[in-house]
Amino acid sequence: MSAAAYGAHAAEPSHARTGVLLFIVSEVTLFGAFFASYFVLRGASAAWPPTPDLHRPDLPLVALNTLVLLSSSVTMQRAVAAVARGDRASSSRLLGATLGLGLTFLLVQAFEFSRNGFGIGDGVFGSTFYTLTGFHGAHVSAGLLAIGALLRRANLGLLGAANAGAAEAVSYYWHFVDVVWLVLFTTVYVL
Amino acid sequence: MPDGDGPITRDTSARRHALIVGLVWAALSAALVALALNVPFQLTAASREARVIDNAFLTLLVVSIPVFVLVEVVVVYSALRFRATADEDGPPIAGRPAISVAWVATTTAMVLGLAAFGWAGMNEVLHAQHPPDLVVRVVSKQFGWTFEYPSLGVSSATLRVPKDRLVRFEMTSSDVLHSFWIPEFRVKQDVVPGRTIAVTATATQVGSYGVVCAELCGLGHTFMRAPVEVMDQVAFDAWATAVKAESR
Amino acid sequence: MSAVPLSRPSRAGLVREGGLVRGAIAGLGGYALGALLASALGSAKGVEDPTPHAVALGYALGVVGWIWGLGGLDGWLAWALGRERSEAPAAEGWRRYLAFTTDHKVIGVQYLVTSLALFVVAGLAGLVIRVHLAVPSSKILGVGDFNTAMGLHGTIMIGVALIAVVGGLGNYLVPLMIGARDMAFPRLNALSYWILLPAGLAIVASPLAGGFDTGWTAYPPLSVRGPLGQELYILTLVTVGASSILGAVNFLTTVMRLRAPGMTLWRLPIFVWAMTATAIIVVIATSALAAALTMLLFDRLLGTAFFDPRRGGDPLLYLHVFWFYSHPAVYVMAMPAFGVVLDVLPVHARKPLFAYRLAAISFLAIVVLSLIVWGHHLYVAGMDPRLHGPFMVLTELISVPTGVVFLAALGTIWLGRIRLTTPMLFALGWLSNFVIGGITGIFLADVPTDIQLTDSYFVVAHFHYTIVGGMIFGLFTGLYHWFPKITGRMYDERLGRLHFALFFASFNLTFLPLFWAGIHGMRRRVADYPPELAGVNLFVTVAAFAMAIATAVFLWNAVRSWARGPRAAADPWRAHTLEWRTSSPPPSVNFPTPPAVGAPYGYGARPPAGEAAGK
Repeated sequence: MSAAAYGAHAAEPSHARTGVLLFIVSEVTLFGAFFASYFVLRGASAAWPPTPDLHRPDLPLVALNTLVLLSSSVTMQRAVAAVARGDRASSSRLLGATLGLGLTFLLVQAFEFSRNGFGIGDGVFGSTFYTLTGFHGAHVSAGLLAIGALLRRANLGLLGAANAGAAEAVSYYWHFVDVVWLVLFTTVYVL
Repeated sequence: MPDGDGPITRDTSARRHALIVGLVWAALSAALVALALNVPFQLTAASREARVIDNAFLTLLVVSIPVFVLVEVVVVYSALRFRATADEDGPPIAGRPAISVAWVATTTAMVLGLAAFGWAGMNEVLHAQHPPDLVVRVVSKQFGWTFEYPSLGVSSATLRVPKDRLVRFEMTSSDVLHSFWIPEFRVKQDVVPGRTIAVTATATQVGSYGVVCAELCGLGHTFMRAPVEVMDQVAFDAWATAVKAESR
Repeated sequence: MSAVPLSRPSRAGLVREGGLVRGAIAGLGGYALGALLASALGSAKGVEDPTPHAVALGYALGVVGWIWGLGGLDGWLAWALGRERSEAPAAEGWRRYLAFTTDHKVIGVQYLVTSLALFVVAGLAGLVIRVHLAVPSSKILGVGDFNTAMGLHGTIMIGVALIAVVGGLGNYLVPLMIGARDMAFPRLNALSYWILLPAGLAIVASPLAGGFDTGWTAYPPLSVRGPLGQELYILTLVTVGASSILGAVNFLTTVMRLRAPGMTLWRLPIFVWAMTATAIIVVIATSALAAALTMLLFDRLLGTAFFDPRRGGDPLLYLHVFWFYSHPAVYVMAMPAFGVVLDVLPVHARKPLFAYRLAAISFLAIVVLSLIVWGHHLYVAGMDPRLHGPFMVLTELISVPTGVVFLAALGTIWLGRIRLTTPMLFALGWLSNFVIGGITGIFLADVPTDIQLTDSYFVVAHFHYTIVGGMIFGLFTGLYHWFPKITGRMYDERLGRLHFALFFASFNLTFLPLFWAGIHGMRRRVADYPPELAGVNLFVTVAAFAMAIATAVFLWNAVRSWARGPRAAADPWRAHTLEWRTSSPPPSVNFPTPPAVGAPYGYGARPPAGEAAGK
């Protein structure tokens, strides 16, 4: 860093971004370990689902939900751009949209779970399904809390070009959660 | 490597230090290697696998000794001979690329050599040379072993095996992880519930030994043992016949 | 930061303001809330005994309450709610150490003191084990108590090994060494420390909950069935892991973004390189432990089947995921000690660090290799045998970069001008011990020999040589070397040397015989052994007590010197790294202006004519 920047230690935008990216690395391992477990256990199972009474959720609803989550990444990215150019109205609108889409995703998923017909205790099928989707859902929820905080700050006029770093950092996390969902959707629901 | 370096003038005292250390290192290493090769320190080796494994151990030991001695001699020598006698600095030597290269090359070569040797030993121990002469089913549970001989229709609480025969142990657990270890055979294999795991061994010495559980399996782990008897084929056959007769 | 002098808080203030009292109350409140919620949910779902569920959810909410009560969430909450944060007056003096202080120097000391306290607790557990094992057929402990004592000793010591140098010396020194004023995320730093206390409480309380009989590795299926103490074990390790990850993110961001102007990578002290490499491992690998323990917890609480072979699960899955983290973890324990030793040797031998850049690069090589060798813990576990050979080769290859650490150390002391100060003695002790630890590792990396040696006392001796002989000796090296900087006072040199002599001798006498015991068939984690091993075990027990006495000497020296030792100069060792450019102890603002950065190991006055300049 330059000598001029030395004194201004606290909360540089680049710190938050770097921190979140590093944290995402540890999250990759977390989900990676769960996915690896899924593949190992599925590979060792003669059939998948292992018993005929279990069946995977219907694809159309989940595919729709996937679009919902993907859209939220789009709105999040546009929100970051709005924050960077100091557009308070758009920032609020887009952050609100992201929040709404994220909540919708969770609600639809809860609805889907209620119709699943199997629980987390139903052998390795239920164990892997709910652990993976559950951890993903928990990460979505945490992300929504952060987005909610950004929304509140935007509404209060506290989010602007000067502190866009926080919004960017949150967006990295949000996109990561989205990517995890794409992998999850493909492996657990499709393949 | 751009490590800074002082003028490369060779001085006799530096050479002398190296020479002394070299001599002490060689003498001490030779003495310890001689000890390692001549003082018996291993448990009885009662199987073919034991010989291979003990050989591997001795090889590693003989290779390790000079490495260990080098470090200790340099540490002790430096502590004694390079003491500061006044408030002075040492020479500004930040590195000698030739030495670094030699060091990395030598350690890499040693390690790869040891790995190759280990790979060969591994194959000798873990790959059965021919189909087994006898199959024993080992049933493990908290906290004991049962040995079944399917070909003989016999079951036993003592593991009896004939000498010089390749025995295949097919092992199951009905509860938690256990591990089948006969120290004198140098045979060890964890037993995992939900699958049958096999390990082979050829006993080469008649005698009484023991199999112990080597994976913490609960409160009775310490006491999870069974006797092992290695017998001549004739004695073994006699035992099998007697047990079968008894069970009728 | 300017601090308003704090008068003793009123009783109402103790509850209204963030602090230990409010933290404890909120922690208990959170626990009660979580326990109630889980019990209610559990009963609603027909769970027979919702106690473990209550403990788990109670612990989670308890930790949140604890941190909130300490005032640790105030900053983030204010940000999230868009409120102006009213700066509460910062604590002063010794009170800073009992508060949610964000100064990395305070946090470093908090970590060090906590680590030493836990070291003593775990050491006592170790002594209990040794007392029981002093004679065969011992009736001193019941088997359950023995297993718990052994599990406690291992688990707490692993925790200490992970946080003592990294959290203690790392936190204190890294910002100073790179010329920064603090870590990149000071509040996160404090959070990383304070969540460790509930974790420590949980593990220390586990004997009261029935203990756990699986050792620190907690292999299923045994660990799925164990008593409530197993839950506490899981919760402790998950917390320590989270603290680790947050700390590592902090370290990496700090080293990447907060180096002073002129602090190029090749001017970083080797300790910073070691901390960076360590942090990379932590960020990459630690979550695997979280995953393994989560699946274990779910098998226990939610009826999942991850490790239940009767329902499609596989116990070996746990071993793979667990060791994917736990092997690199040993380098998290060992590398910071490498960094300490390599940073101390040049100062006390007054000679540049030999092969500095090669050593730094070796740390990165260790990072890469450490992540792909975990299978050597599974040679006899039933792993696919085709994997044995590759894991063996890769594991043995780690000796090469580790060997470079020895090249650097030996090359530094060779032809130096050595002062046999206590830090130097411990550094030399590290050299002597770690070569044994490293070499015996090869015996375990080699498949044929590992077959016989794994799960025996040979392994126990090996890892005590690397962790105690390596990490603990490195810790003491650093504690003595930086004692004057951290405390502003000098330790007693004679007591330091006495500590070294006693500890080095007793450590070697305790653990060297255990190699022999392993070769002679003594299994690990057993409460009894054959009579022919009685002599060895008795000898080892006596030697272990000598280790305890040595440690007591250190503690006495540390406490007394901190309280009443002679005031230390800013730079008593005349060292060149930046932490010595501040007062002893440093002011609360490390560097008011950016410090002048030079080479870290510029020792070696121009030699008089004819002086040796070659090896």
